[in-house]
Amino acid sequence: MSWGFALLFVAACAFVAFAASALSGAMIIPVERALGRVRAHGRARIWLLFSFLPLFASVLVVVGAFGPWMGLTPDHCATHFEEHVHLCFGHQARSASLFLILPASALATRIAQRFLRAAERVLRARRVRGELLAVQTATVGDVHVLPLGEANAFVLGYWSPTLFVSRALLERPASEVEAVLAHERAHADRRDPLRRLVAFLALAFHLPGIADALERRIGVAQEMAADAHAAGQIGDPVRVAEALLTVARGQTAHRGHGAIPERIIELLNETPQYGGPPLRALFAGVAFAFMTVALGAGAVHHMLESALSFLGA
Amino acid sequence: MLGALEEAVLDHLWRVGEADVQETHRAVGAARKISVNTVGSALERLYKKELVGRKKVSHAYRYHPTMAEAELRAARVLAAVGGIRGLSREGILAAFVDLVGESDDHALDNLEMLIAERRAQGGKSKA
Repeated sequence: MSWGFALLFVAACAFVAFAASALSGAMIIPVERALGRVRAHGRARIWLLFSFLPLFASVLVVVGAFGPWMGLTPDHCATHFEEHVHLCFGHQARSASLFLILPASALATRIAQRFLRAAERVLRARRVRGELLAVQTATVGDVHVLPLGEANAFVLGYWSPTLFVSRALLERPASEVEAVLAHERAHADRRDPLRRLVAFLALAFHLPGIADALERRIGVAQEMAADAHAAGQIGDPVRVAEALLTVARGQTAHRGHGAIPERIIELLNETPQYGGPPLRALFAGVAFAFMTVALGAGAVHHMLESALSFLGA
Repeated sequence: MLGALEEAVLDHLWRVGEADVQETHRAVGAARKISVNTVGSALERLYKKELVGRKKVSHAYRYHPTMAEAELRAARVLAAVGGIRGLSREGILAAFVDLVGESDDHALDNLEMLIAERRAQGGKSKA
């Protein structure tokens, strides 16, 4: 593979991914309004899907570039000769404009950074888990008790998350402890930390500000989904809201911008809500849409080549 | 972070429950050949870090640890890795409560009123 083609290929992925990200960013507020009556777990799924859109769009570029060479899509290169660049593995460009280094390196750097940070998170989670298990004072079933004076609970780990609670939380009324444990078990059962990690990787294909906005929405929706699960399990959303408020009041550091008010208001909200589409159905729908587009990959591919030529590639 | 002398002083307080500066000096300072004032300064630093409490008895303070040894060890492990909030921000763990908004006390008061209203209405289930 020539360097010119590699540069052109990565730059094309970057252009398409960043365009899809900008489009996703423009859709965040209208979609958020439309999702007002969808249950939190449905919202979490839809934001998770949004995090994958630029990655899916980049896959189209790959299909377009390798399709004719692999016989998957018609080879149209002979029809345009040298009138614009060939983004095609079969007819690789030998050189490309250095201007393309900017978008290509921006995407490559973001992907490399995110993968390194994700690997660091996984290793760090394993180390922290080991260190916390070494200082735990008791184990009650699957719950590991830490001798901490601030009431809180958390799950740690990606594939099989471990549930930790502070001793101070266990000193709270049983109804409060039950609500908190149900919330944390919901995170563990759904493997929310793993979903967040996968989204973190897919968000490498997004523009930075939009990636942050989606990451926050996924996090908040996951918290609300775990609250709703806990409320359903103990049959009393107000009790979960009370537990949230009590634990929030006990925090010594009041900094940052958490989602406590939004979560409590969501729990107290009596408007009927509808479940979102299942995650598999969402991904199947997107896969179907992309396969349909991929069938017309020749035209999309030609448009992309024209756009790259217009940009001076 | 605790210095070696602060660690030794704290260890002593965990063993005996409470002590004044003179008693602490006899236990940990004399063998190190350091002055009573140095031990007093270590106790003062621990007091400022809220790791020991004190009460005045006659003319001298008597110091006692504010947290158990296991609690301090757990707190130090968590602090060393960034704390629950830090780890939550980085996506390493999912905490029940991670961050509370700045100057949120007023907002929390309002939420408490909302919860009380819902409780008074007997609200429970959600459609």
